[in-house]
Amino acid sequence: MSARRVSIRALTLAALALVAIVEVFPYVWMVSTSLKDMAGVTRFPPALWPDPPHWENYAKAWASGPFLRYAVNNAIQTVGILLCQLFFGCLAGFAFSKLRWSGRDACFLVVIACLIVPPQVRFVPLYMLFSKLGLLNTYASLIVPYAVSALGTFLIRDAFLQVSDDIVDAARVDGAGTFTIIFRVLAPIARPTLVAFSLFSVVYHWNDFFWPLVMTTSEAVRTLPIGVAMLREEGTGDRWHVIMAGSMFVVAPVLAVFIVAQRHIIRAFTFTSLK
Amino acid sequence: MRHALAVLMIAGFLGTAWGAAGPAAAQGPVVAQFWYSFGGTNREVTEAHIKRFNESQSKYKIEGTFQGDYFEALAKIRAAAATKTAPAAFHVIGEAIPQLAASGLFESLEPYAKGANGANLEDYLPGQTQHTYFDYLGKPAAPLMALPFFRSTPILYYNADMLSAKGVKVPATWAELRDAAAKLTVREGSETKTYGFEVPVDWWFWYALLHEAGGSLLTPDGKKAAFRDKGTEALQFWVDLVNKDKTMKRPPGKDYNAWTVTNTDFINGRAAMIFTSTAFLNYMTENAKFKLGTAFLPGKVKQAVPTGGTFFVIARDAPPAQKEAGWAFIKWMTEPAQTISLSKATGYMPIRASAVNSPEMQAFYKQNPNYKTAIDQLRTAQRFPYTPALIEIQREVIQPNLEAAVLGIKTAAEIMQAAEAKANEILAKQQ
Amino acid sequence: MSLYEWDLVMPARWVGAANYRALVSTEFWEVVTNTVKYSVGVVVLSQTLGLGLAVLLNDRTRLGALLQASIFSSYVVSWVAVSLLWIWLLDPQYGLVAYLLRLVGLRGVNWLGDHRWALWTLVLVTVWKTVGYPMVIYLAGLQAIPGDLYEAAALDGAGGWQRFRHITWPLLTPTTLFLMVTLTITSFQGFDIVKIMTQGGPVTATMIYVYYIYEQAFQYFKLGKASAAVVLFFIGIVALTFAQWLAFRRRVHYTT
Repeated sequence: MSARRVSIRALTLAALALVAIVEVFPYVWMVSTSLKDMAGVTRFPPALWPDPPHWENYAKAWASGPFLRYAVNNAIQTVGILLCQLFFGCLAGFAFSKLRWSGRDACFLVVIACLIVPPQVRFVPLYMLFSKLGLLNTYASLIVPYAVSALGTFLIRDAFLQVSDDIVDAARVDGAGTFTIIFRVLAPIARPTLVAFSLFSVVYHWNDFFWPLVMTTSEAVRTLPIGVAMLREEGTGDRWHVIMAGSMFVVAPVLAVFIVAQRHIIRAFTFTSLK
Repeated sequence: MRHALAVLMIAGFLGTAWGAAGPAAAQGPVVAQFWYSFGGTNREVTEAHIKRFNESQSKYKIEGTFQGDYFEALAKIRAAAATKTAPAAFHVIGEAIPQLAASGLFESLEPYAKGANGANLEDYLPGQTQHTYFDYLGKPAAPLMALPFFRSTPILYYNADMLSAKGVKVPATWAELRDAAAKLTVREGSETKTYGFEVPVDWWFWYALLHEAGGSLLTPDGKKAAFRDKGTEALQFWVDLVNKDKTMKRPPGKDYNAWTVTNTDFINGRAAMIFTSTAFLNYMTENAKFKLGTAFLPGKVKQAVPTGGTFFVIARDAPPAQKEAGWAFIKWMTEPAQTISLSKATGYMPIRASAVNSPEMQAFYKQNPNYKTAIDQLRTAQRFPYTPALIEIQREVIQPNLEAAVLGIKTAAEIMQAAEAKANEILAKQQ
Repeated sequence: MSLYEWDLVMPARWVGAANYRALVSTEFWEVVTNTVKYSVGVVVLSQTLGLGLAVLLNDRTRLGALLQASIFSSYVVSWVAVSLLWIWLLDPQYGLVAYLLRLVGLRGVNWLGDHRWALWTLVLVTVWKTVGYPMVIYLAGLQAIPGDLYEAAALDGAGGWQRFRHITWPLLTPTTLFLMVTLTITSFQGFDIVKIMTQGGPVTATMIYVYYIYEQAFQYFKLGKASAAVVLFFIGIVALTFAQWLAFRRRVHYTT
């Protein structure tokens, strides 16, 4: 290779490495801060690695509220939403791809419109509805508004469209009912799409802050992001070491999963977008 | 088969939905909710007292839930009231009481106060009870709806070491404050290492300055705004300190975020003098690495302070048994023994005269004279006009617009003029 | 709902179009301007950077995969954690950014407290978190371009920049349009970052649309006004998406 190409390559790598460091180092700093004590936090110049590390900050953050409850709620919310979205998405995807009915395409345009409209548009009327039904502060208020996903419907329909009609007809001839066709025949074929969408949905809803913020007040159904945001106290100076420790509860699981499954996750995002 | 599966799934998530709604009805002690808005140490103190209450008797059990700061909590309470799921007891800032009362949110406490588990309303310090906090504008007093919880006044905190090092005496007037701030500000090149003075650019402190300048918020009948001239004077004082003298730091952040910055700056020696609530006295005493001094707010025409903090209230729509539990709790919290322990743990004032005069507190004050400042300052306490417009004037007319003057975006006069017009608009709607 | 006045507690009052009139005050236009500024900043910066990174990164080595993953990682992390982290990093006194700047002799600004900088700070943090997404999408797009096109061009004597201008860029236009539309829509939805970092301040410097609706509904209890804002939001977004689609559709090239 010519010297010029080598140096271009080196520069390229350097630039990329710099960006990568800028992206990753803040998390290192987060961990570092979470292990300091108040004096270490306000020391100038700041030290990279605290000595001794104060692991009890994690205990303090955990104890500042029922974090286990928050984590469980977060999990229930995320899983609940995912199951509903997959369920209804498959049903709707089937209806839009394999069934013929009048008004089908018009309805599908509505689905596309929903893709464009951000979820916050619906929050005021939904809030009022749930308020009148007395369903605020329940898991239902967290799950139901997202139970049907326009994106899910869109993607699953697309995946089902790829499946030849012959397979569906053959299954029908064998005496399979509609539900069997959808869940036993089509869904397995569309697995890559379902997996990709699931990853997308889980990431979005695990991290969702706005919706639980609006819909819940009681600690019984509060989710992790809200619990972490509440770590900031008023008037008495932020205890950054505790706040960073608490933030780790939200960040660490996601990053851990990401590191393990990064290729799949990145592919999932690319995939859902290109469709 | 698949139909059953579908039915099961739907039943499943509906089940979790109903299951998670509301506290279960229990045999045994009546369970009631208490929503509070303190994080950090005050939260721990509150929870500790809730625990003590629950342990001291077996008829009621109070469950406390933290809801974010005062304003976030207020939003949640309204939402809950709309669905009749308001907590039995909660606390609100004084300014919000007239409007919330007009919305029918509060249970009248008169029958409870006069009933079997009654309360002595005579023993309180000035400015603490609902009737001494509000100015009823010539109309008959509203029924008792609120008992004082954590109460405070703004005080001047100063870094005694810095003041004595520069030979500055504690300011008692605006002019002296200006002077002192100038002497205490330390600059290094183009950077200011220490600001002489800092205060959150906030309604509460503006209200103090307004009255110190001899003004008032509304006319005596409460029908029109009266704050334009003196309000401009008050705001202009800050504008000059920040932009002309450059001896005051404007702490960034909305609402209570600015208060946090002010406190942190003071503790770290970045500000020599600050105004903030006596509520932070414990925090300051524990964390200051210098000699801490407190004093009255400097006055102009006179000395004046608003009282602040919150009041206990009971939701009208809660079930009667829970309301009873709520009353028992708030009454217990306002008893002298509790106000003493609450005050010592935080810096908020004990609200009862008998508590202040008790030998325990007198000894405490001898040892910790800073804690007495707010109490002595009560003799200059100002009342708030009792009108549902009050909270709107605070939150929409004054609070969001003060910063613009200090940032130099508009002049103080412009802001106060626009504020007066808007306030009159709001007041007119009430008639 | 947008035609009533409601504060959650008292029954709703019919006010007709008054909410819309109250809405269209100077404050509202400032909110719209802020939102547009934020959106344009985020879309332009993240898309350009994303493209640049994708072009640089266009190889399938393991190092490439590692770099790609590192840059994308922030995209999956919660906004709450990211916002808190950056408040801490940007602390004018103790933050890492202030420290690093001081090391090179520069003085930091009050990133979140200065009304001239606050909105752009939010833009930068948003770009930091989300640049991985356009990068990854562009990468997929780049890898879909047939290699023989480049070889043919090289044989014709085309240099790197010319190859980019005449092959890469035109063939990436569908991706670019897609990203532009998607990123615009997501940036209009910005809420979490404002709620945690600035709450719309200083004064109204970072008041963006969704946060404004939230504040009207939950801090000022003007649900009628909030609903009116929502209606306008809906109309605005649909119109904007449509406009983007129409304007750029014809400039999009597809490989036959």
